[in-house]
Amino acid sequence: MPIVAIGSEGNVTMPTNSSALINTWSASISRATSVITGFGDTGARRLASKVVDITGSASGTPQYDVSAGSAVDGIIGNQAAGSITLTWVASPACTLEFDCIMSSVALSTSMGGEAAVTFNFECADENAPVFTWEETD
Amino acid sequence: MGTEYSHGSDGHCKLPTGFNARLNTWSANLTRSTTVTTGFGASVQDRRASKVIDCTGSAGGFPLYGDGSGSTSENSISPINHSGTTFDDRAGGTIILFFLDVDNDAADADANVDLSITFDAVFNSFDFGVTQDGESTVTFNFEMNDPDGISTTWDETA
Repeated sequence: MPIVAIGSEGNVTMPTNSSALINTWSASISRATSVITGFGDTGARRLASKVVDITGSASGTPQYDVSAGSAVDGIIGNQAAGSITLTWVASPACTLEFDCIMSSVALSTSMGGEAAVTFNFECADENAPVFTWEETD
Repeated sequence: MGTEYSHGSDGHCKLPTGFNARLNTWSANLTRSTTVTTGFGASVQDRRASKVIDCTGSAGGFPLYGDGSGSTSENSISPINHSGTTFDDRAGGTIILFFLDVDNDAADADANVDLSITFDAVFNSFDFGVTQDGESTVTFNFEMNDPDGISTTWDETA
């Protein structure tokens, strides 16, 4: 029987300088579609683009290192694109890997509450995303 | 036997090959474009409806994966149709939305007793969400791609 994925099996590997203790991610994989309905049709006819786009976000808690020369990555992100891997299940692997840029980083801290960071990413990859899914059950 | 009433737990949804999940919800919107044809002298709006019907909607649930122990074929569990590591979902396929799936198998062979609508569609997006202390979810968003319109199976013999 196939296994239902649950949230605690997930993970995210972020690009360089986009670091936090991540506990949630979401992503939308989309294709543009064009309506090509013609005379005589009684239902809508569409064509899907071959170009896939991916946007999404990953959120969690900022982390730091008290020692000088911190080994902990930054949280501001880079202008250049970097690789991100979204993981549904680490083992056996169900993942999606692609290059992305960080369009925005949302930071918040509330006295008596949480410090949080949300990375909003957008696909920046001329190659197809690498999709891995465990299907042998 | 008389009129029966449909309940959400009687529903089902069949997606094209390569689009899989443990689904628990679907929604769809059937539309026709309309044109206002009101003329001088009228005291109320008049309209005509297009013969072209459109359908957009979504189906949601939980992603599935294998435990690595068997030899299930590619695209039998994955949420997105693929060839190896590359998405191959562009063509979409046939969707059946069930209000009532008598034997709960999402099979269209017994459509004479099920209540369903069938049409071909492309997928314009897939939404995923994973939360460490919660669920892993997937939503399939589809748009009709069927010049023949929608096929409806509905038992109306009260």
